[in-house]
Parts: sequence; structure tokens; C-alpha cells
Amino acid sequence: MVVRDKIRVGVILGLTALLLAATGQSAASADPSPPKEERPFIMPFAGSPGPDTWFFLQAYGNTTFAYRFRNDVYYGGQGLHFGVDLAAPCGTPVRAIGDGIVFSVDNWHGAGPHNLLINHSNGYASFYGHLLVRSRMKIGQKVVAGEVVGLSGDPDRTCISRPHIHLEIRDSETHAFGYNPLNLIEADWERLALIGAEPIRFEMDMENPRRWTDLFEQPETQFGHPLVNDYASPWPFDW
Amino acid sequence: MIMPLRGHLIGKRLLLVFLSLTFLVFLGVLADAAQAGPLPSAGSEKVLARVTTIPPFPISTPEPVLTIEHLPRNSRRPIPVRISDGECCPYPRWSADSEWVMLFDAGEKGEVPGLYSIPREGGSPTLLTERIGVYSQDWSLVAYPEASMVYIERWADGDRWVVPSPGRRIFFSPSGEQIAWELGSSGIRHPDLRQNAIWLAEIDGGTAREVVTVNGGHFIGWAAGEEAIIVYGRLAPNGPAGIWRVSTEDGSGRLLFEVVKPRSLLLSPAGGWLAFFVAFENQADRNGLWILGMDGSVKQHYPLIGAYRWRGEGQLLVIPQDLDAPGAYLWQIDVDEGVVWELTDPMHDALPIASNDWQSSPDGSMIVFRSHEDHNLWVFPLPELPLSP
Repeated sequence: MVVRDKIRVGVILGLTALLLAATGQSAASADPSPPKEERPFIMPFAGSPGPDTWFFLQAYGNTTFAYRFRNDVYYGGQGLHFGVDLAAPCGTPVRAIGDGIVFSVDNWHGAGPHNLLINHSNGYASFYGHLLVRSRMKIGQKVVAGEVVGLSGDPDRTCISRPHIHLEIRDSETHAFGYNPLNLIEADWERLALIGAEPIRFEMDMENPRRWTDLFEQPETQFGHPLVNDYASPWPFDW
Repeated sequence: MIMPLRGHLIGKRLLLVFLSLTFLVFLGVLADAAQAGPLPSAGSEKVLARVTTIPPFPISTPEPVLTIEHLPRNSRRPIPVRISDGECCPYPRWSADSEWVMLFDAGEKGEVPGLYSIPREGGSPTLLTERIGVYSQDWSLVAYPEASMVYIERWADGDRWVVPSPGRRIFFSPSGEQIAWELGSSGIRHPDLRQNAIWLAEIDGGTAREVVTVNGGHFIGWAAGEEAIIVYGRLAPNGPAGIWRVSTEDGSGRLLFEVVKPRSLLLSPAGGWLAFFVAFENQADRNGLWILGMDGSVKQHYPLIGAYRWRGEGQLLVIPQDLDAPGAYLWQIDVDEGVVWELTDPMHDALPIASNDWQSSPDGSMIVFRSHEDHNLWVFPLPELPLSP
């Protein structure tokens, strides 16, 4: 692209952005979720994905893995994987995804061996599970986006078996609603999902097979409410 | 979605947006000016490139030396074709003759769940059968659970029979002559300790026998010739962990590759090759993509991660996870020659694949993928490779 073209593209982009910013007012909805911004958060890991650093492991929502354990690990989250999993070697610094205030350290939300919950001023809260050691953060402490708040760990405590973090985004008022982090964290998620030999698998309800099979179009989680995917005709089967 | 803005914030936000964009354009101008090489012209299309000098196993550095050879400019660029409408159809697969794209769906109006097909040139989905299940490689057989038993049904005549897997998912061998299933220990939840007994039987369920038990691992598939199966894990609780070739006759195992945590293992269609990746090992030059010959003769390592599918025996399609590129692009690794071909140019042929949802046709001539731009299925013809120089 020559310099003249680049300037022209920049001007067009600028005008487009100005127009979007000036008209970007959305109507209030009945949805109990907090007011939404355009992906207000950053990734919890710095640097590029790779075999030595970190990579995308499991999506949010109606994944086949969560479906398989819907009456077990994911029962309290309506049978959904109510966060996103990112694989990383144990000890990888975990960054706060936004400015906020520490709400709890090692609370009862699970995802052991250690976890951390940060409330953000935009109505969301971020939850970091499977941390290696207890976070040094204190309840009430202010954090800024990008600040290291913990170290990634492994739920099996081997650092070989399943080293990863489980990242949730909930509402900051009740922490009772979970949202799809892929819609709220700025990243090229479709490119991050291009890893391995298999598609990102979501459980299909053969009575409505196209529903909830997309990375971004997944249901919100209402913790403690009934399963949303106890299908009569599932694919893959309940073998 | 954009949150409601208060009046006094709008001016500040507009000013910030404008200043940011101006700065970005300025940076872009500087970056262009700093480039020493010539700018690409419209006529210099890079269509297919040959990437050579992939270091053989074992490598001493995680950074390979890559040289790219460009094909003549008049090479024809493949053009993807949309074959579906209506934001449809996750998890497409191919018919055995590569003429049809197959998928589980319920039709455009969501009325009849079943197996549908779409011509590879595009068209309306056609319901083939309402039978949902695990199909054999040639689609002639389908397995499904019913009343706590597993049935195999022959599509041609509807004949069906029970197989002795106690309600467990079965796998068909490539020839369709054998089946396998796993019986896992229910009391051990730790994935590295859990035991899985691998059972084999003839397609009619006869001669069912436990062949081997793996600790912290699973069945992968059949090696070429189907006289051995490939598993990973430990054959003895305290023995070495890795990828094993196990005789279907006597259950004896041969360790092909020692590795504790192989990920996303994929056997080639006939079972001659295995692709997988390794991550986070302390010995960094073991991390990345691996390709093994299932006779134990070849081990190739590529220091990258990404998505991969077999185009044919010894031909692996790879989409490297390269977020610095303008879009996803496709490579082909030819294992025999140790050559990597760049099949698409991210500047021109970015592949908007949704959810890593793509498959290579059995004849190796094309891939089908679901687009994250329009949520439809697209067929992308794969370039034919020139003769090796």
C-alpha cells in the first residue's frame, strides 16, 4: 500500500469511527447483564500464543466437554462451560483484564487450587481460576489492566496434566451471571481457535441443531439455575 | 454493543478517537517509509510458495531457516465457492467420493433432524437419512446407542446387529472390518492416572477381546494394514509415557515416541502417519508440531502450533497460528520430501474459518470450511503442487 493510499484509508477509517462513536447509543434492554462496551477487556496473558507460551484451550458455553459433565462439574453453571480456558505453563504471569478492585481471594467459586475475583467499574467482574499459588493481592486492593495478579496453575496440581487458567466474566453486583468472555475481551478469537486437529466442538441439540454452535453466540449462565442443555436428542451421544 | 454515552463524554471520546487515528496513520506512514524492500505491485501475486530447509529431527534451534520459492505469476489463484445459505451447518464432512458435503442438520426450516448432503458445487441440502450416529469412513455403516446397547446398521439394506461394547462409543477401522471401544476406570478421575482398556472386535462383534490397557491415555486408531493399533499413555502404570504401536494379535507394544502429553492426535486416513503437537515441555525444542511415521521410521518436528488436517497420506495441511499475518493461511507439509508448501497467501487469500471448522476432501482436491463472516459453508479448491524442482 503506497503512502497516499494509506492516508486515504486512514481518513476513511477515521470518519467511520467518528460516525460510529457519535451514533453509538444503544437502547436499554431487559437483559439483567451490565451495560456493555465494545470488548472492554484485554487478554490475561501477555505476548503471542505458541507451544512455549499459551494457547486457546476450551471455549465458553455449550461445549461438548461441559455437556459430558453437565451433571457433575458444570451442574451449577447450567451445563455450560461458564468461562474460557487458556493453556499455559505453570507460573505464567496472569494479568488483570481491566482496571478494578479485588473482591475476593480463594473464594468458594471453585476452580482450584487458587482463584481470584476482581470487580470492574463497568459492571463486570473477572474471575481467575486454577492459579498456581494464592494470589498476593488483598481484598479491596486496586489493580490496573495488565497488572500481574497471579500465576497460572493446574487443577490437577501436576503442572503436566492440564496446566491452564479458567477465566470467567460475571456481573459485579451479584456474581450470579456469567458472560461469554469472547464477546468482552479484545482478541482475534477465531484465529486463536485455529489450533489442533478438531473443530471447537459444541453439543448439538438435534431438535434445534444450529443453536449455540458458534464461538460467540452462546447463552449467558445463571449460576444455580437448571440445566439448559439436557437434550433429548444430543449429538454427540451420551455414550 | 456500545453502552449509552453521556453528552459531556461524547466530545472527549470523539477527540480521543480522532487523535488516535491520526497518530496511527502517522505511524503507518513512518513504517512504510522505513521499509527497504520494494512495495508489491498488483502483478506480483504470490500464489504458491515452496518453503524449504525444515530442520530434521532433532532440531537444535526453535527457529527454522525458511526459504520461499515463488511460482510463476500466471499461476491460477483458487477461488472459494459458497455452497450453503442461511447461516447453516456446523461440522461439515465429506462423502467418500468427495462429491458431497455431509452434515447433521434439521433442514432449512428445522423440521427433520438427520444426515444431510450438499453438492460440492452448492445447492439445497438433501436429507439422506434420519439416522444420527458414528459413520464408517465410507459411510456404509453407522453405529448408535439404543436401550443401553450399541447397534451397527448397514445403510444399504437396513440390517443391524448389536456389538458387545457395553454401551460405549465405538470406532470403525478405515477398512470398516474392525471396531474398537474403550472401557475406562470409573473410580480414578485424575486424567493422568485413569486406566482405559482398549477392546477390539470384528465388525459383526465377533472375537471381542481386550488388547491393551493404557494408563492416562487413549485409543488413537489403526496403523496402516490394521495389524496394529496406535494408543498413547503408559502401558504400565510406572512405565514410559508415549505413543505406542500395539499388535492386535498379542497386545505387545512398541514405543514410537516418548512424550507425556501429546495433544490433538490425528492419524492419516490410511493410518500411515500421526500428527500431534507438544507444548510447555522444559526442553523447548520438543515443543511444536510433530509428524511420526507409524512404522517408527520418521520423526519430523516443526516449531509451531496451528490447525491441521490430512490432505492425503504424508500430506498434512497446516494453518500456522501466526497472529502477525493479516489472515489465516494454509501450508502443506509433504513428509516424504520434508518440504513445506505455502498454498495460500494471507495478503490475498485469507481464510475466514469459524471455530477451526474445516475438513479436507478424501481426494485431496479441496477443503470445506464454515465462514465466520457469513456463517455459511465454503469450498476452497486446493492448488495442485508442481513437480519438485
